[in-house]
Amino acid sequence: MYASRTTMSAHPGANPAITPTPAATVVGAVKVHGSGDSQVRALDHVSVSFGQGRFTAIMGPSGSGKSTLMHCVAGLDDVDEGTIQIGDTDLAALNDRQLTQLRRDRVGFIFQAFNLVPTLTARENIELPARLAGRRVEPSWFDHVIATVGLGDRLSHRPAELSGGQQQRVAVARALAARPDIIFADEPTGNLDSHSGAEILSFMRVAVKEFGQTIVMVTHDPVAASYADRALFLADGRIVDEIDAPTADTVLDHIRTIGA
Amino acid sequence: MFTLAIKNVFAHKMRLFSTAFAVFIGVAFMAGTLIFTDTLSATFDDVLADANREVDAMVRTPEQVETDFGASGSQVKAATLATVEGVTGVADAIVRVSGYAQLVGRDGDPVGDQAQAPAFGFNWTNVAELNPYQLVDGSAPRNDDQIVIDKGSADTAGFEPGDVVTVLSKSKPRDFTVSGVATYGSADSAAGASAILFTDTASQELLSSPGNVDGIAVTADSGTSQEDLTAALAAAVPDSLEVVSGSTLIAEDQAAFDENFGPFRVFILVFAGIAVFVGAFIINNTFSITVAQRSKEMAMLRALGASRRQVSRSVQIEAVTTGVIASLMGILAGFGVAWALRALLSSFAIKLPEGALVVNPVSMLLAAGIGIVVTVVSASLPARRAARVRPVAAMRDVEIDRSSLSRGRAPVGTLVTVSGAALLLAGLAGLGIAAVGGGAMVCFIGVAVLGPILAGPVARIVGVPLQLRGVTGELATRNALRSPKRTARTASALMIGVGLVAFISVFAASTKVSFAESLSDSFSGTHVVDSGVFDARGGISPRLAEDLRNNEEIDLVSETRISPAVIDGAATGMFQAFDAGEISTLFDLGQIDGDLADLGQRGMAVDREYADENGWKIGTVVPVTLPTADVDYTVRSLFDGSDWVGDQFVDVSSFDRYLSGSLAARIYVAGDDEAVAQAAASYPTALVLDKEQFFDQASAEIDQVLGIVYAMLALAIGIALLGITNTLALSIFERTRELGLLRAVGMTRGQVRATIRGEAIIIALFGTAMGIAVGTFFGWATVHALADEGIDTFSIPVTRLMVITGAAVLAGLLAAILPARRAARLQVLDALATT
Repeated sequence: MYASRTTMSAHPGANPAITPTPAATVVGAVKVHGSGDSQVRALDHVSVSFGQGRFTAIMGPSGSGKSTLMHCVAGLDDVDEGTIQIGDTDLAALNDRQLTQLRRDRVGFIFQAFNLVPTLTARENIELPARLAGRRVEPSWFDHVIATVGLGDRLSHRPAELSGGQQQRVAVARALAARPDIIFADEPTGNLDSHSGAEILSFMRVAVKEFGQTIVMVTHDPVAASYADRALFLADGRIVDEIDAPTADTVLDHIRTIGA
Repeated sequence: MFTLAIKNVFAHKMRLFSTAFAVFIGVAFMAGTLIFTDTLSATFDDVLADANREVDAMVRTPEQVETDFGASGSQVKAATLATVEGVTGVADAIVRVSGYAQLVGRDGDPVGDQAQAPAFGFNWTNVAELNPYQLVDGSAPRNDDQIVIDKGSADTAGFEPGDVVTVLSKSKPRDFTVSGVATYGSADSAAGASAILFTDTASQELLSSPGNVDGIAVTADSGTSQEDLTAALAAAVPDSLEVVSGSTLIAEDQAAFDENFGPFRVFILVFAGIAVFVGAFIINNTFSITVAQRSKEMAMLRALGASRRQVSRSVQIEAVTTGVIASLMGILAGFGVAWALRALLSSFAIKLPEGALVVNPVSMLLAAGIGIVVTVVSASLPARRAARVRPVAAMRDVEIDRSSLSRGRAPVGTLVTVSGAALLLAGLAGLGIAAVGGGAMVCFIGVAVLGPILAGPVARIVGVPLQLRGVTGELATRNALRSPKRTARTASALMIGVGLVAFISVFAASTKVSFAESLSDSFSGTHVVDSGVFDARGGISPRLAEDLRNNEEIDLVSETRISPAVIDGAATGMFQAFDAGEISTLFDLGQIDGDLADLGQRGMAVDREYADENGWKIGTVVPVTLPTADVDYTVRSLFDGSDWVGDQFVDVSSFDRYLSGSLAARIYVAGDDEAVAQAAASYPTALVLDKEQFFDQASAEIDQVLGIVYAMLALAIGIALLGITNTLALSIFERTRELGLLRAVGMTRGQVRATIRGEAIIIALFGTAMGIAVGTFFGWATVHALADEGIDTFSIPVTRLMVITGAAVLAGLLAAILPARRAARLQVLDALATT
């Protein structure tokens, strides 16, 4: 359809203290699932970079490759061709242990559901990545994050005792607590009612604005995408479009245009 | 999705394997033991029948007290032979003499291990059909200085015809020339027992006393039946003798054999039973977990219209299938076990006849039946639970096996545990061994019922050291606590094996301590001359006791001889004789009424308490049946209990009179070290031990038994470890997505493994803690009950129990290897995609 747009727009002044290195860079990524007739090109020469302190939404229909793109950038999956970098680190050069450490120390995750370890309390879940690294979350930062997502009175609860929205807030807090270079969110509001979903998105928005956090979010919800600074559109494993400062309406317009 | 399906199948295979394995092992050992003992019984029946096959009648003395290894006296006059030969219908008649005779090897040590198999002497007979021994080399003894020896001993010692060898008997050691070597039927020896065959005269001199024989074996003329012969002989010989037919004799031999091997059979079967019992826990646990994991599937079935019965039946069918497959395979493997048992036993001195294994269909049906019944019964509760799944659960995300603990659990568990303990105590107090075993089993079940309540606190405590290692330890602890029931059931299987190990360790430690205290408190001698055979066989010539007594540098000597006897109607295998005049100086016998030195041949000394129980006083006449005579003993002396002399004893002179040919089992001595050693030097079976060495020897014997029991219990523990592996594998399977999440947020593979190892350690330590608690209680109860038997000091072997605990940790690590590896290998994305 369209040639992939590989250029990355400069930072539109939302965050004055930005350094030029992107939080993550993808160059010529190809990912093929299956083999023979059932072969599917989940990523077809995708190149994109995610600037620091930016909130990017990746949109596209089912099977467009948006989840695959996120998994590959997050170090959960590897690409068949091309390179992926988190900051200056080339993921292809890392073994499983180093990749695991990278996820632990430099990447945050928010999944659609089952984000939390059921045997751990909210607080323990939030501290988990730091503790896996043998570190402690800095108390003042922890308090700050907790205050941001409004979890103060729920910290000693187990996930089973929390509502879906509260569970996602814990997941957001966990992602933020480790101060990762980049947070990947996979349909973070997909399982929530619209009110809870809006709350979660607001927290993410705040994190980007106030903490300079970089977030990449996969979603198919135009409303969710409207919280982002920028929306990428994937179809058939390619980036087919992109808009800055999306609103629900502009996103819907673009979806109609590209026929996705 | 395909990979997921594969993983699913693998999980099921693993599940089937480990469930079936528990049944399989138990059945294999049961079947193996039964095959082995059936085979042994059949082949020995043949061998025994061989020995007396051609005997049509036997003339002997009527007194027959059960003796383990042949009659130990000779009361038939050799002269009776002439009378017997004159009876019409008699073809051949020969005297039979038997007794103790031990070959000394070139190195000066006794040939063979006396404690393992007895050493016999017999008279050689030239009537081939009455002689179970057949010459394979050399010739029969032609004079009183020649002997024939069995091929087994000849091969072991490297003797051949022409060699001059030393023979130990109740007399002084004496040299003989080997004239020939003989086999016992086709075997090198009779079930490992060595045999020295003398001339009639020499045999009477060495084994009984001149003119006295065990009996007279007779064959009938053709045309005379055993019955007629027996009747004719009975009419001819003095009334004091009895005549039994050949067929009666063979039946007696077989009964005696079965009685001797009975305990051995029971011993192995007990351990097979323990394995099955442990297996029952694992089967129950596996079915509980899988029923819980499949509750969605079952709810779906219910929603589609399946009845409760149908759902529970589907689980039962799975159980029956598992039970049948495992039991059949267990029986097949049983042949291997039987073969291994035979090889194992053959490697210890006892040469067993080779040949086909004998399969008794009843034994096989029994083993398979037990395997299947145990499987089905163990799965019955989970099956009923499956039926309780409500159809609506199909629509929900079900919580897996996290049902809360019911309020009835604590009282029910306590009640069961206490009743088990009560039954055990009652069994020890006299209700019998069946009550002890049953009580122990009920006790284990009771503690297992309490297990889920204990799991929380115990896991938190044992988890503390793990948590020092960080978040993995904490996760391991939380995982172990997730389903206290599952953790407790898994640990309970381990509890049984560890409990029994702990029990036997406590019991052994208490025995040692009691023995040491008793040795230092009540034995005032310096040495014990030991034969290694502390039973009626004995092993030391009484001549040595005489030599020691005559030695001026030695102050006190008392030999002890042992005989089975029926005392006032009660049978005992330990009727002892001492040098009554010396015994109270060597052992602390408290206050003594009457004069021990004055017991004479028909006086008896009795423990005061025991006498009171029986209503005996000084002057009471107590009828005693010895293997060769009925003797009315008169109570002449009372003493205070001692572990060393038993409830009653008589003077050695009495044994000399009524049990001629009996050997000393031990000689207690107070005297100079060198003098004792010197005197004993020419008696190779006599082992001179000072107090410390004597204790060490007793300790070593205890340790040896301990080792055997440990090895047998290792089986039960091994099965329990498989149970841990199984539980972990099933748990990991249901936590796949969670593992994916943990890996995604930064848990390394090593940390995944550490978490699972931690959980295994907690389960293992929990099982061990319960086992040690229960086992220590068993030990305490047993020691308490056996205080009268001389085991009166309760001692907890702390170091050993710590070693056991350490071993449990290692075992837990071992059990976790496979599940941990599997968990660590999970692909993050696959795991996250699991629903």
